[in-house]
Amino acid sequence: MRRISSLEYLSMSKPRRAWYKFYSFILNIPFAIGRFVKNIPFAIWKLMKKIGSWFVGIVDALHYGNWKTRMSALIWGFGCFAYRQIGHGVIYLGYEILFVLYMVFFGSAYLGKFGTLGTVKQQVNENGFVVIEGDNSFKILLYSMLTIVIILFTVVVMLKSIREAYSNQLGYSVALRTATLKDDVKQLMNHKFHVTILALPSLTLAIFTIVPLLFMIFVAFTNYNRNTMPPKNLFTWVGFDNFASILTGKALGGTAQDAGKWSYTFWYILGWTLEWAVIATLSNLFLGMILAIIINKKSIKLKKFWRTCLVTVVAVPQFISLLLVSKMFRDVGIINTLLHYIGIEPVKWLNGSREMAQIVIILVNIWVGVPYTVLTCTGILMNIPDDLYEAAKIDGANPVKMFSKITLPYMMFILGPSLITTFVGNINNFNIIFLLTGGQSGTANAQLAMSAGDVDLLITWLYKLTVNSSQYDMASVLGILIFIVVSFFSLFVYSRIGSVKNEEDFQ
Amino acid sequence: MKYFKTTKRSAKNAIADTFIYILLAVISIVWIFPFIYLILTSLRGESTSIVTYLFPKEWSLKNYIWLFTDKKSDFLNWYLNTLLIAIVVSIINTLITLLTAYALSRMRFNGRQSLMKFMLILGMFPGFLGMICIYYILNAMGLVNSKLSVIGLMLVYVSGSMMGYYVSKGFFDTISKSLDEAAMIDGASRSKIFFSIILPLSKPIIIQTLLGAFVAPWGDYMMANYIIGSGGSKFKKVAIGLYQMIDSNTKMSDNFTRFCAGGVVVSIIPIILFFFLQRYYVSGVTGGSVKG
Repeated sequence: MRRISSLEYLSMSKPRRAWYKFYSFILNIPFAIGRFVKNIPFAIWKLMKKIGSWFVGIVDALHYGNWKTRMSALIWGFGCFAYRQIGHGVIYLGYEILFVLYMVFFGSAYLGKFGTLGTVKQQVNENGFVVIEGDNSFKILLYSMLTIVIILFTVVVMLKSIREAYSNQLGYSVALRTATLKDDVKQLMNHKFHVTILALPSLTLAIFTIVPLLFMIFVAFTNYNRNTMPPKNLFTWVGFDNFASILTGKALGGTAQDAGKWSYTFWYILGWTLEWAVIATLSNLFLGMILAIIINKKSIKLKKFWRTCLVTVVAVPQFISLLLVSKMFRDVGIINTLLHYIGIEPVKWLNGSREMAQIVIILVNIWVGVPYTVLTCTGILMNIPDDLYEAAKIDGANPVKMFSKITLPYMMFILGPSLITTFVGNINNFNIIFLLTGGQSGTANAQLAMSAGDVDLLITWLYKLTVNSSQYDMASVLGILIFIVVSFFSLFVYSRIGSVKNEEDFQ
Repeated sequence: MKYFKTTKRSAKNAIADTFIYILLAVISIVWIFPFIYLILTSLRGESTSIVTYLFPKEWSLKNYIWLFTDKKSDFLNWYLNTLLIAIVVSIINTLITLLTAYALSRMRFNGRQSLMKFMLILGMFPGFLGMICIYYILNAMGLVNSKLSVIGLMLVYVSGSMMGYYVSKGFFDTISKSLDEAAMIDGASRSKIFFSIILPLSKPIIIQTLLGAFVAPWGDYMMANYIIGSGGSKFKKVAIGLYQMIDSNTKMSDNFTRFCAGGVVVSIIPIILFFFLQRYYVSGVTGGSVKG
């Protein structure tokens, strides 16, 4: 597309301008991705430099430090003992001993088998007793992850012990005293308060989020599924096979069965997921905005009453309201009964065709989601300063003009950033699909792979793959792909929100 | 002439308003109808299955009585489990979220930016992905499908709470830093500043976080089903129990009215909380994004 000058741009009519903007936005996407990819090496380089600077400090410390400092690379905390920091020294030394014990008795055994994920199969004799315990691939992978995280942490601790020894050496020659443990505890409530605050949450985050996620990311490169379930069987590395079969439909190593089916299902479900997320987000936004404006109209009475009617849906837990609605849409449910009274033939809502189920899902989503938007918009509408409208009135603006020039821009300004958050939330909207339909409409699609239904979203398919059919390898691949989709949209917004970039400006 | 013009306009307005009132009435009925249906069904005495009429022929409370007193019903257990989980999780969650937000908003330390970026990326993975592994870890600790599974679920809900710091950080960012500086000159420590200056100023965000952290585990089905879905009935929570009460056609015909009664009971606490604290909810939704 030809770049146009600003004069040409200004001479365009309004719809053409909007079209131009939209068009150039779409055309810009590849360049934006290109820039992003181009920036990756720089980011890595910066990170390496940062890590490198750490080590430079350490090399300095070892080079210029005295023997006490150098000793503390081997016996951590030696530099602390030597400068009368008994408390510190005990902690460092204790950690070192614990770490060595952990590695000798536990970690190394598992880490050693990380490359193969176990080679000895469990053997059972004819009476069903286990003769040879064998390797457990699951445990090997999990504890290897744990050990790697612990080793990384330990490296940090070790470097810190050397640094501290060196700074002790420097500080002692000046002040003839070093910080005691008591000083440190005081600091933990003051300048190092963040350490106190973040320590425990970080630990739970590491155990229950980071290690499991790392584990699952690695599972995506194995063939861990119901055929290779430990402890009876072993699973092993398969490289990018799973990704290849789910994305392109061609099996690389022949380990994944029905590769074509997997990829067909993935693209089928991805298409519907995006379709759904776009429709759900936009319908909720616009209907909610319109409704909020109507209720907020000056001449309308009983504002609170109308709002309360809508908002009840937000307050009731979704598993109640959605399960109830799914029963209302059954063949002999209350909706069909009411339609029968009016004289309309019963309709197969959720267990008829796929299109019908999709329409019902979107309608129910409007029912569930619009009140949220109304709540938000009401808050925004009340915040618009009245003098804006008064000034506009004096200038002779009519209501339509006031709406399009004041109300709408104001609302979009505030709702804009949250739009993508909602969009991403809809991509991962488990409740509405699963509780309403179970992911399946009335017409079965035989081309779909393992346990996928024809109105499943990626997230519900992931859930089913995990819970119902134990296809953990494919579930992990799916999780990573969801991450890629979500991060694509999120990064786009994140890079545009000013509050992230100019954080210090607001304080 | 002028008089004529105004009456014409007000007549036009009146028509528009009537139209709007009709529209609002229809919308309200559509929005409220499922809940009326829920309450009416829960009060139906004559049959427990799904029927093709709206109003019960025999009004009674026996569905509620069945839920709480019948030997086959573990509803009271589920309810207490859920309540316990929701209360504990909301308190711990709020504490962690606020403290994290404070640290990230006020303190400047090495790795702060990286930590925030890291958590942002972590949050983009679907939360359910790690569940197989979490299940194994909790199972090894004996916290799955057992008496202690309540604790297991609490751990699951609490573990990621650090990542929800974003809105509260936005709030803390708006509190002037000169407050901190003044207190520091007077010799207050960081912890003291947080507990006696920042916290009292952040009532809206505290209530909003508490509310959100209470309602989420209260209604969660996805995570909970994996941890406690297949264990003893007594250890479940309402979302799982009520779902399984009607998950097949035979169970449907036995339990549909009871499910509705359970639904009414389960909804009471969130509804009360919500209507009393609605304005905090609204301020929370817009509060985080206003500065964008």
